[in-house]
Amino acid sequence: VLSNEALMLAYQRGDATAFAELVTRHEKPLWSFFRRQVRDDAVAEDLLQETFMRVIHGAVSWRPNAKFSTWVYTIARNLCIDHARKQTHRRALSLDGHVASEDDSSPRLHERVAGVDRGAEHDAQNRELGARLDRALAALPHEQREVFLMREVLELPFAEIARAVDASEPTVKSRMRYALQRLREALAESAPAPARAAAEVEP
Amino acid sequence: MTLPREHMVEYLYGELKGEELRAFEQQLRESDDARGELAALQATLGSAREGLAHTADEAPPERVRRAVLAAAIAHAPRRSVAPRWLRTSFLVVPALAVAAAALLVVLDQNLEAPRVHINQPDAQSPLEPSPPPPSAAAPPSGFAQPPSAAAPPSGPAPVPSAAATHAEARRAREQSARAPDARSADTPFAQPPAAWGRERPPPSAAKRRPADALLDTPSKPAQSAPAAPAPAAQEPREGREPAESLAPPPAREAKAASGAVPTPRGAAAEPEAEHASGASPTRGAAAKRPSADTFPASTSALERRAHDHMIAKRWRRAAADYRELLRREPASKHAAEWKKQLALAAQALQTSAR
Repeated sequence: VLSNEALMLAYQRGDATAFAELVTRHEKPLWSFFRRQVRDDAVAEDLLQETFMRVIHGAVSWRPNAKFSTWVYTIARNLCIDHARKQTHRRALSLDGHVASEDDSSPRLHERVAGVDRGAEHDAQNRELGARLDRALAALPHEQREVFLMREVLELPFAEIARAVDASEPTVKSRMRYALQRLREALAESAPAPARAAAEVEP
Repeated sequence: MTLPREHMVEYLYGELKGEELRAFEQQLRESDDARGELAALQATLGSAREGLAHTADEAPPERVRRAVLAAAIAHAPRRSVAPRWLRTSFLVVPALAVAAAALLVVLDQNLEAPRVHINQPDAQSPLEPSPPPPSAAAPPSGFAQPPSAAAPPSGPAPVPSAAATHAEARRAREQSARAPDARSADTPFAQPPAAWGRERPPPSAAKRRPADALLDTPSKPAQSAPAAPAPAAQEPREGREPAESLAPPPAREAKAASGAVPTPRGAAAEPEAEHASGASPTRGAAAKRPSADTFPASTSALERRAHDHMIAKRWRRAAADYRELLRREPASKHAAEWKKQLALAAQALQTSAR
């Protein structure tokens, strides 16, 4: 299996199929990362496309002395930051927009629509857990959320995350620990009543 | 002894090694709080991973992938199959041109002495440049003979002075040098960078198709292209200005009055003239000839064809097809995608032209 860097070098030589392989490898993690960062599928779609476009345009000047994944995910992260800056100026919520309030435990529109045909209980539980996690992630501070997603979704090592977010490695680990602590609290609060009662009984 | 908090995360992810790992485990054994915190973090991480897992396989919409791959093909760094010395042809050609110009100057200086004897009919110096071949010196067909290139009068020729002969020879050389320029405007070699690149050279005026006309006049609807031949013929005319200026004014006026676009070669402007006059002998044959650029009636077929053109890097055709799609169904749900593809094709065209 060729490494990302080898594929990128092949693309630099004009091999478009190598780039297709890179897209195949990274589109899902990036898609998941963007959706959880911006919480808007249309925006996530635009950001995903823009990320690959920037890779394409930067391919000529790319040198294999940096890890390809770090480079790509840094681009993705910067796009998220740009988007967040724009959003601070116009905070318009879409029809399907999610309001991060504590008492809001209803699933989003697309979750309700997509969940109609799935009857398996386990699947429903996972879906419910996923929705609760999304809400908990949305409530995290941006720095903690991006570190958590880079580690858990993009599967970057802490050293690479530190490079991508331009922070020291202990800082990144500290953000990760705070993120996990906040997630624990948020997930416990949003847990269904029986589970919450069980959690309260346990020492 | 306090437990370094960041070591908790490192331990959780199995990144703690060696002495640090042993020390951390020792502290864990001694501290109930540390064990409790570690267990809570482990449980949270487990839940988070379960929550993430159900969307891990969700792929982005296919249109993103298509758009990205089309862009990747369009902007792929060019693979050079030519040997290295040929890859520098962009530099070699101008260098050769400069060398040729320098040679001309040197020859010009060396010819000063022999040209004194040029009046002797049979004593042509070996250094004397041979008269330019008729095909190169004469202006392109369809033009009146310019006065400087006209045949000598039949009467007794006056004996020119050395300086006059020199000037005449210089004029002939200049004309022979100018003639290929005028001719090149009609040939595909008029755009060498495009010919060297991966993109095929743009079709000459004689091969212009409706799709090309659509590309050249993006603001005009497709139906207006045949009715207004002048804009379509504008581009080739620009390259022909020097040659065209050789034509005497009456000839140009006559052409302008007849409504035909004045072009050096009648064949080059044939499609436009055909539309203008409406009575061309080749019209029937052209109508019978199957045209690859006729737009399919079905929108889906047209979209497929446009996509195929993109994949095959036929940017002009792809752009024409997408433009036609947008013209047919501007309110389609795919319109945004078509616009993107059209922009990509146009960008690829520009890149290849550069």
